[in-house]
Amino acid sequence: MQTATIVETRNCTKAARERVFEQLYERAFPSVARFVSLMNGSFQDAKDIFQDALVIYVEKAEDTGFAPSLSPERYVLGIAKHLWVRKFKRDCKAVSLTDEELAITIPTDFYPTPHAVRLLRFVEASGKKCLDLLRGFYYGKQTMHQLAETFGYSSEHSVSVQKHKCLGKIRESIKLKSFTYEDFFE
Amino acid sequence: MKISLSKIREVENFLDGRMSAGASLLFQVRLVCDPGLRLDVALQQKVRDLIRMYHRKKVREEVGSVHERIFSDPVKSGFSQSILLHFKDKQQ
Repeated sequence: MQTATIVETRNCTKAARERVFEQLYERAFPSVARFVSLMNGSFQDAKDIFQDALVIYVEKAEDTGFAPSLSPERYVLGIAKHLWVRKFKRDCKAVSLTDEELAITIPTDFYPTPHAVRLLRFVEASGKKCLDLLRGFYYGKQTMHQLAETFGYSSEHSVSVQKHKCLGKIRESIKLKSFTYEDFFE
Repeated sequence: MKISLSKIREVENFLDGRMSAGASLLFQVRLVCDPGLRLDVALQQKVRDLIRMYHRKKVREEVGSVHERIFSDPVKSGFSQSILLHFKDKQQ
């Protein structure tokens, strides 16, 4: 089953993950493209909605306890329908959703605010290595030992200290950016 | 003022639910009384939100490169054409 394959890709190579994405693309994109076309959307709309839906699907599939009753293709289509309504502020009633599709939830923070986008850009410019390390920690589900190897630290203790230093560094960036820009100018 | 590493660890343990029931209760009482601690927790939660956003951006980049590969691969032109057919009468 596809869901299981996705879960197993968390610690896989980039190439292996891309092979899974490719399979999902070929299996799920046709129905999403058909749906967007029926809604009078463009190819670009279909591409954007589908890619967003795939990101959400992967995020859900990599979470423990995700056991959808729908196949991956139908689940991705369900997410795409929700995204279509949310992104283009369309009337929910104009989009036909099955009971299973209605039960699908999408993250409320999926489309970030302009402030959050600027903040991420700022943090990326000053601390990309920290972002990568913390991403590996929270989303790669790697052990401290694996993280130490991946990021070139001599021990699990070193990488643990670095993780907390990175949290502190990004925290300071957020504080700085919030107090110097948003609070005064927005 | 910069936060100490031990405070960061403590807040991490709280956010991850790794505290004992007693320690967690005590931490929640401190949260009510201490605005500085509330700010620490809020900022650390914001760091996590930002990392989630970064993770999504990276996955989106991976998915985007798969799209480019599929749509530029002559072997998969049948698939690409079948998709584009849905939009042939629409303005791109």
